Amino acid sequence: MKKVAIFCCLLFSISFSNLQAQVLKFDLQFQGKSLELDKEYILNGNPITISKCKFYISNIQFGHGRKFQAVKKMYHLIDLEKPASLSTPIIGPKGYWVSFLFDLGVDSIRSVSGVYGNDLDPTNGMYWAWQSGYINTKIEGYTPICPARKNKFQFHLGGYAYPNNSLQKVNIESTTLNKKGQYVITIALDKFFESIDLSKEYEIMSPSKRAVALSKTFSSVFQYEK
Amino acid sequence: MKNRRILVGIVFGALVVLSAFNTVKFAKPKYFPEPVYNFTLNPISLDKIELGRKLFYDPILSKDSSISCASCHSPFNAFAHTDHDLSHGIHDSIGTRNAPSLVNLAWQKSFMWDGAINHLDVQALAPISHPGEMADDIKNVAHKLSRHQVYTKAFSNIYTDNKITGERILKVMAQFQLSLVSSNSKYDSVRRRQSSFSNQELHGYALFATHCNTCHVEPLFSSYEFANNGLAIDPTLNDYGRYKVTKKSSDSLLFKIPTLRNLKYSYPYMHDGRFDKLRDVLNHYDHGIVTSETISPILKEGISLSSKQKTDLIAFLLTLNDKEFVFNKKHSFPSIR
Ligand code: HEC
Ligand code: HEC
Repeated sequence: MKKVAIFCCLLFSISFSNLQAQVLKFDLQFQGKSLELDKEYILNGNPITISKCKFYISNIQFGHGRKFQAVKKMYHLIDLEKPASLSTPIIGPKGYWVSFLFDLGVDSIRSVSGVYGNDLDPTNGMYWAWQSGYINTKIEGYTPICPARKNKFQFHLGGYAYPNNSLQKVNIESTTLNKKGQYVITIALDKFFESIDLSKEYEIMSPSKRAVALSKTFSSVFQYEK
Repeated sequence: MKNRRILVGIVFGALVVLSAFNTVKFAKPKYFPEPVYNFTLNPISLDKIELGRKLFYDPILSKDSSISCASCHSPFNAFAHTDHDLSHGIHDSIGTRNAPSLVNLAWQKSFMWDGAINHLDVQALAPISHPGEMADDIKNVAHKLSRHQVYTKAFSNIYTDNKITGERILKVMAQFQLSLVSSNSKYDSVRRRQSSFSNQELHGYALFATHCNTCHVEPLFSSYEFANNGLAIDPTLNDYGRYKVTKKSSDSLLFKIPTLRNLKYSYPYMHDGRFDKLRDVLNHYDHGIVTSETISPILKEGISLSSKQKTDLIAFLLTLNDKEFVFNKKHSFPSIR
């Protein structure tokens, strides 16, 4: 509700400037269809359900090829449990954009500067308590091949400090020009899981090499199409 | 109509003045360095300090409402914990480290014995979430507070939209802790030329300057860096300190250098509370140093101190006790309203 109000204000205030209100939509998919939380899928012959998928997007830039224009710096928590969060109103420079550049995660400066509100508020469950830093991406779920308690796998990917800085720069491009001011970014989560053997790797809860590697994998399943 | 507008103007002006009055500048003692904490992101106000204080002393922050921050950080112990070497938490499960005293936090670069916390604002998340300590989490805390009138009122006095968020809870708690400035010890009054050291204290001061000040840098009595001061590892705890955070072997057994202010009140000493008395500490530096790869080079050979020198050094260390701070009503248990 509040987001909508802010959006309307912004719309009003920019209508005479060189900016334009646009919507960036995130479509989390599993096997080609929009992902449903807590639904059982079969992946490589094994049942799997996803119970949580949240991640931070920030520092969005719009572009044509390699030329980018920055948008006002904001941090967006995309949370599959909150459908409204999947559509992010952004105020960007006027034009039709074929490429996007953004950070998947929260940058290191924010990570060392204390507490913030709204999407960055620690009540969102995306802040580590016992060692400072944001969890950039949180993916949890169940599969019988996972040997953990209740067959639960948990990937809490984060870490802002060298050498385990897990923030990823995502640069995606579309082949077609979008004229509706609405951009859809699809995320093929099944592809992410195809790179992990959940019977062996099922829990990451702190900054590490693997957290960086999996963050990279996750960023590689982002796609921008029409 | 016009009168009414003027009246509204006056009332509004008065409110602005009042609220400006309530924001205060952080008082830095003259001879202290500039604080590390960035106050522009969390401007100090008396109302926020007061609300933070209320939260600090309120067991509502723990799952079964049994312990508060003050259970482990008591004002009478310079906000450290003295009953046990390893702080007791919820359901009496014992933590693995000694609760440090909370003073002059505005000058600290990192928090916890291993520096795992990078900012005071986010420190409280650790005890609130640690299963052995307060076993709750900040979302639940925000929810609980929003059901108590005292808190909804206190928050709405400060924030016009009445919302109790994680950010706000943490920022007001940080403000209270930032207000815990200790600068009224005898040492401080000497620095302000209001009194002078005895001969014995002067001898101790000289020894301190030679042997201790590299790490326990005055006037804060810490550089807040990390060092290995030669404590033998406790095999029941296997605590490697800073290594746990950075995973660098050069950080193995390094712990944050603690301040030496208020030692009279903050015993036992060291990250695991292994020493009860200052003499034990000095005996450690004199002949107890265990060398290892990461031992601080200045402590490798130990610090040889005669019995008289130890007595003098202790006399100096005792000038760092700040009774006024410890018994200051402004930080003690808030009166019930
Ligand atoms: C069960 C005991 C316990 C409780 C309750 C507790 N603490 Fe602590 N506190 C500790 C211990 C132990 C440490 C040191 C932990 C470490 O180094 O890993 C500590 C460390 C700290 C530090 C870091 C100090 C420094 O010099 O690095 C701060 C600040 C702090 N606590 C504030 C709080 C606040 C605020 C609360 C209430 C929300 C609280 N504590 C509740 C035991 C406790
Ligand atoms: C190389 C740096 C270094 C030097 C030099 C040094 N210390 Fe320390 N000191 C430390 C560190 C690090 C700790 C915390 C160690 C731990 O708990 O693992 C500490 C802890 C202490 C403590 C315990 C404080 C508390 O609250 O637990 C006292 C007291 C102390 N030192 C006194 C001294 C005195 C007196 C001297 C000089 C004779 C001295 N130190 C020299 C690094 C140093």
